[in-house]
Amino acid sequence: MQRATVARDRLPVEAGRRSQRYRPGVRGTGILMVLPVVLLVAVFTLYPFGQALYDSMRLTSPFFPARFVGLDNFRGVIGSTYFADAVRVTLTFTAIAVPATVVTSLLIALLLNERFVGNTALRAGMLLPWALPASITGIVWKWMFLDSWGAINVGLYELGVIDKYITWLTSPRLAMMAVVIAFVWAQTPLATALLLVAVQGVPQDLYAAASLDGAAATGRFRDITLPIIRPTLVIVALYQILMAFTTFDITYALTHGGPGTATTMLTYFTWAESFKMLDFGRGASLAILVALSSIVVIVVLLRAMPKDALLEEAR
Amino acid sequence: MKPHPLRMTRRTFAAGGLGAMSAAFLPRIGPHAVSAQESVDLNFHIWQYGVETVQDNIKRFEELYPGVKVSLSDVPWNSYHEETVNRLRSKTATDVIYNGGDWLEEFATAGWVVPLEDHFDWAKGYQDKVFAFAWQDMTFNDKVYGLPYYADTITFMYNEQLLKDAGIAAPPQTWEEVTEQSLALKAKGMEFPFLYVLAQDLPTVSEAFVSTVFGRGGELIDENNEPLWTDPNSPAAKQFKWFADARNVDKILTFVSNETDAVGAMSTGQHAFVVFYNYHLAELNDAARSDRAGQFKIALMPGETHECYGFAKFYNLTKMAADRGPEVVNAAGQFIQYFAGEIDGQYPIAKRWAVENGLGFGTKALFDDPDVRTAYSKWIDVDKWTEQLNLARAQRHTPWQGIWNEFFRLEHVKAVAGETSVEDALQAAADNWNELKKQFGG
Repeated sequence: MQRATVARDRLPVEAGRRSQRYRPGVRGTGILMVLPVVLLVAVFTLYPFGQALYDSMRLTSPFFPARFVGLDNFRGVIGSTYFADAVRVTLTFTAIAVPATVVTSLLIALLLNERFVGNTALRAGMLLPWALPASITGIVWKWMFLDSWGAINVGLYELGVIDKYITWLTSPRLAMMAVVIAFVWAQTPLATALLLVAVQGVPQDLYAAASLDGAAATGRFRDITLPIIRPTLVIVALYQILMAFTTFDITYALTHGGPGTATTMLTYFTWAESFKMLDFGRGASLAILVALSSIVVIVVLLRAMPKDALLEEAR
Repeated sequence: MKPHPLRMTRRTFAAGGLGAMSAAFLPRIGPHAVSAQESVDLNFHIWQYGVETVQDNIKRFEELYPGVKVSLSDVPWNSYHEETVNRLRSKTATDVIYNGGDWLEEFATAGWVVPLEDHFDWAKGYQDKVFAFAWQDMTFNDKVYGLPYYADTITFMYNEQLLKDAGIAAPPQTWEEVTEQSLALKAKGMEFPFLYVLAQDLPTVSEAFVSTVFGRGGELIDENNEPLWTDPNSPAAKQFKWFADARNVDKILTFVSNETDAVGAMSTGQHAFVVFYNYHLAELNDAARSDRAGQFKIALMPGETHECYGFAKFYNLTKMAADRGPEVVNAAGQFIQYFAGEIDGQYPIAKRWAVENGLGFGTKALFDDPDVRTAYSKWIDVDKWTEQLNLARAQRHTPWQGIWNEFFRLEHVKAVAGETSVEDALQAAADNWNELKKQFGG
């Protein structure tokens, strides 16, 4: 059977080649048009990063005079048991939440790609979680998971599924599961929308040809759909990794990082160090570590992927 | 552009004129009453509780003092400490704040709040009119910093009906009895008889824990600010272990992360015991909020001495206000007097909180007020409450306590959730205490 990856549109590459023939005046106009955005990024990204870097090497507390402390803040947070806990929790959460989000989104995208009654309403309704701020999502799920009067416990109890209420938010592992569920619920709409666009972009004649060859649904998905949507899948996965790695609002609203440190990720730890312990220097050093870790994670993942995974669209 | 607080406009001039006329017929409060011709802006910073009532009280104050305009800023209770620290540190305009004993030393040491008695002759006159524990909570270095917004106790509450149904005749007297009765209730099908309000970001937790330690006759720190919980036989260490064992060994305890959830949880009838700010009993026994209204009672705090933590939350004048000059200081003084002080032998605002919300009060006069007693008797056994009130005491504080409480709560939750051992949690809490003590030069 013909692999879908063989057929490719070369237009983007050709467009790129054409761009090299732009006259200097046109190029200058382009640069001028892009400059405001570049400046905005510089002001709102580079400046805060530089300030955080500066603060990370100073004692910055409301109670003591500020002074340069070198790398003491970094040594302090990395040596803290909370840091090890936060790293472990962050990695665990990312490892569970990202695959769960991507798989769920892909399944929903495939479902929405089919024709059935109510499809349009389902697509519109699916976007609802995306429209809610993450903090509201956290509060909504908190009401769902509350031990004594949460909707899930009450519902399961009334249905006779459980004979005693489950301590969702006060047991470390269950609390982590609750955060994962809330995250997946909040992130699935965007991921589904992106994947749905990719799935809809698969040429129907390929499916028709594969059916004529006797390919089953799983075969069509494996050999046609998956290769074609792979670039989008990679982008969605990378985006979700970043989102999971920097999740804060949901844990803040749902569990406050607890019970204990069971759902305290690096971002929550950063916030707590800054605004609870009022040690802004340590908080800044943690923020720097989170930012650098995110970059490292992305670079490592990009290098670990097949080289053509992201380049499919550019062929 | 924000108007200068003392700038006179036609509107403020007219308001001042009206104020001058009305001032002639209204009681003057304190020796430094602001002239109504002056226009003063006051920034009042509070945590979110009864905000509509606060706004209404402000409105009444402004009607009485048309020359004073009060701007209100309110933030959640959970984040009040850090938001207030940042507000005061960044010199965001703030003249009067809510404060508590656990933060007073920190704020005073940082120079953000000033003693009332340094600015108002009337301040010390309230000493004999305020409960001793409340006065102590508002005092630092022998100077009083505030007048009570409210003063209350953290008490032990139980569902009398559930105990009766289980054949338990009387509430527990000791923490061992709490365990015994909880196990008996558990044997009859109640999964978690003890409900604990526990979250690392909730200031309430530290105070509730202290109150239970007081029940055993203990303290957290000695007179030299040395931690006492490092001794495993200390009341503090024993109580810390009790909570962890109740969850992880006896499995009689569950927890919720805030008081609102706790009121809801208690109202389900799935829990029999809770340690709370006393005024929450008014909510539990409010038929509009709870299907089990009337079933909840107060018992003396379990333990050898039955003492409990008595505290004051109070109106505090900031250094920023003091630096703005005598007009602002005087206006703030009037404001604090109106909100917490005596007016013609009455304490109208404190009384309003007590009658409408069940908040405790710091002034002894309200204790015998018939309206207050009538209102209280609807939701609490007044005699039992009086007995507990007489056993209430303030706790020792330090300038670093506000920050340490954040750390302690985290270790407390970890121990109760079974994420760390009691010994490790207590040691970590002691290490952090000693580190902060060293940083603060304590």
